[in-house]
Amino acid sequence: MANKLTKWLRLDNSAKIYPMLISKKSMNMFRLSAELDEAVDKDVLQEALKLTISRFPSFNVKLMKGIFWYYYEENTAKPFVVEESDVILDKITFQNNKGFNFRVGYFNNRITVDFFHAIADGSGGMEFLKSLLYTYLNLRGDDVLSEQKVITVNTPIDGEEIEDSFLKYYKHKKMSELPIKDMKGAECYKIDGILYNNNGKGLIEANFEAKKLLDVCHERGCTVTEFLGGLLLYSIFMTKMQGKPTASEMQLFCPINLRKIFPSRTLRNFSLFSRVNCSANRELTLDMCIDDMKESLERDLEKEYLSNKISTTVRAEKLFIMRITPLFLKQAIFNIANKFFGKPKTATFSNLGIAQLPESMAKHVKRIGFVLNTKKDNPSNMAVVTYNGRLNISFSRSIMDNDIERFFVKYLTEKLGISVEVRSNFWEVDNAL
Amino acid sequence: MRCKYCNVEIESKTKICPLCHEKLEDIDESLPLAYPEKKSKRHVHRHFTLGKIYTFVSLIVFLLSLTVNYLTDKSVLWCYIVGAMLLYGLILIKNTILSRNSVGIKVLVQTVSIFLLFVVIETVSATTSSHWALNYAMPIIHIVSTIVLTVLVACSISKNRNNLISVMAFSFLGFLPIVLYLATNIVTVLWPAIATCVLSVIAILSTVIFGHNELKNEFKRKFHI
Repeated sequence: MANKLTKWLRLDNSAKIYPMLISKKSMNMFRLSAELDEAVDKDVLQEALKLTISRFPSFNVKLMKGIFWYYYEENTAKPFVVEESDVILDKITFQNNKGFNFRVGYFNNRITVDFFHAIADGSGGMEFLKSLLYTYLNLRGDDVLSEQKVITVNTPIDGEEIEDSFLKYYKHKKMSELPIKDMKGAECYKIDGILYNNNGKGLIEANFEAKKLLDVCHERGCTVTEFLGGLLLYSIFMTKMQGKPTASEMQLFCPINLRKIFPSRTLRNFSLFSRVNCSANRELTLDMCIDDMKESLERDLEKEYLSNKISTTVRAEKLFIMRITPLFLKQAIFNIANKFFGKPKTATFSNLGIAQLPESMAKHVKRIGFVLNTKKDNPSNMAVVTYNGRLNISFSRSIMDNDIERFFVKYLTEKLGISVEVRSNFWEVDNAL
Repeated sequence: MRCKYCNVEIESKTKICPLCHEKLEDIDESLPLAYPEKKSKRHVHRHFTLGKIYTFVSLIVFLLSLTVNYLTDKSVLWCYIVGAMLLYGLILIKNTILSRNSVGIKVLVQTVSIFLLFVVIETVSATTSSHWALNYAMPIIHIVSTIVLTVLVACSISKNRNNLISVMAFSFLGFLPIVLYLATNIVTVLWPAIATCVLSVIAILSTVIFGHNELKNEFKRKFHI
């Protein structure tokens, strides 16, 4: 390897939790994918991956156990591509994956990269995917240009790409000034349903023109994220709670990309969650759900508040007792705390925003996809990415029924008159094909 | 293709609507599959793993040995030697052959296990008066393990920089026989203790001289707080 940056890396502040959350069946993962104009050539993709990985030191790593913390060490193995598994976001078994924390797959025209969340967040992962696509297309024989929108193998490695930006923006404050209470979990409504066996996941994708939704949002005076989050909450209320007021409160977790507020070029994790609370003890309407989204996001996107949140998470990591507790003890305490005091989420909703590719590349890339993993205590999630004027929503779920998705899409088509294209992996039925 | 109930376009090969699961009327066979076809049989749970089979057979063998031993000649309780050997076999399979642990941990587990196995054999065979397990077996096992570990680390030093701390820790353990000889009367034979001690000093010196930087870096990585 050409650089000395990755001999070893501390896990970034937000990544420290993810290895502890790995269970027998699942881990925190997300998927980014791109659909091309032609079927993917496995050998070309393999070569492209080999070249790309040498440019991304923070991805070319394997997870190691230290005495007090996990850490990343340079991975000298050669990464490989695999045909997509029928299980969406199947758990990465490190020993079968040569220690890599990501998996590159292909299926027909699609290239997929499944990331273990400890190495990167959605933005960092997207940079990796774009670079892989750029290299792949060039190797395939298409003369594509980066137009300074894509990191290429020839772009010099920037130290800022592997920095822990949480530490950069950490300000030491008194405990009393930190929003510790806001970051604690609280009881909330958990989506029920029959879980799939074998870590299987249902996936439904809805694809439509972004402009139409944007017009609706302008009319209502809200952002796309607020509208889609609100509609998801409303769909859960109308399907899972049968539209009747109940005592529970729904909680939607929305990741916030901190790079937009705190300038950073890091490819590692640099995001925090906004917890949107929506009380279901009333006759909820879509507008009420959107208002709850708006209220929570407006508060949580405020710079000073986010700065305090960054300081809180870093402060927790910097606590002397936390630092000197051996890793096995941290893991044991964490497992017990998670088992007895862990709070479920109603759902997670992530909007990655607009994926931009240089024009010469966009000609060959037809669609970009983004999928979130699901777990037993977080069985239904929604991920959104916009590319080439079209919005792609991926509903992933660990439960069999798809009432929420059906209500959501029907609202788009029937109430808003949007023409929606859908597809599914049909995990809930046999003989769909 | 279009589902008239959900009012959506369906863009992949299917006979039913992804949302309402109603049959579609105008099926387009030319559309591509959106995702790999679900495999009909997925492996649910492996009932017969090597570890499970070994554990089961071991328990049966031990139970039979115990019964035969107590029903026949009880002067030597050889069934416990059988039990200890079976347990060692389990450790060999689970913690050495199948495990993902580093070489250092594997060698350490093997060393301790073999030593404990010898202690059981010594105790059961009523040969404790000579303390051969401590006098001879412990130093010899340590010498062999130190040589194996050092050679393995030396051969893989460019790839694997994670075992120098293990070599150091292991080398320090090599002073145990001489300490026991000087401080207690459990170890009574001097030459194996001295041999282990000398080898440990050589291992420590070679690690410090040849792997100084690697050792420092490994220490930083492993012990960062």
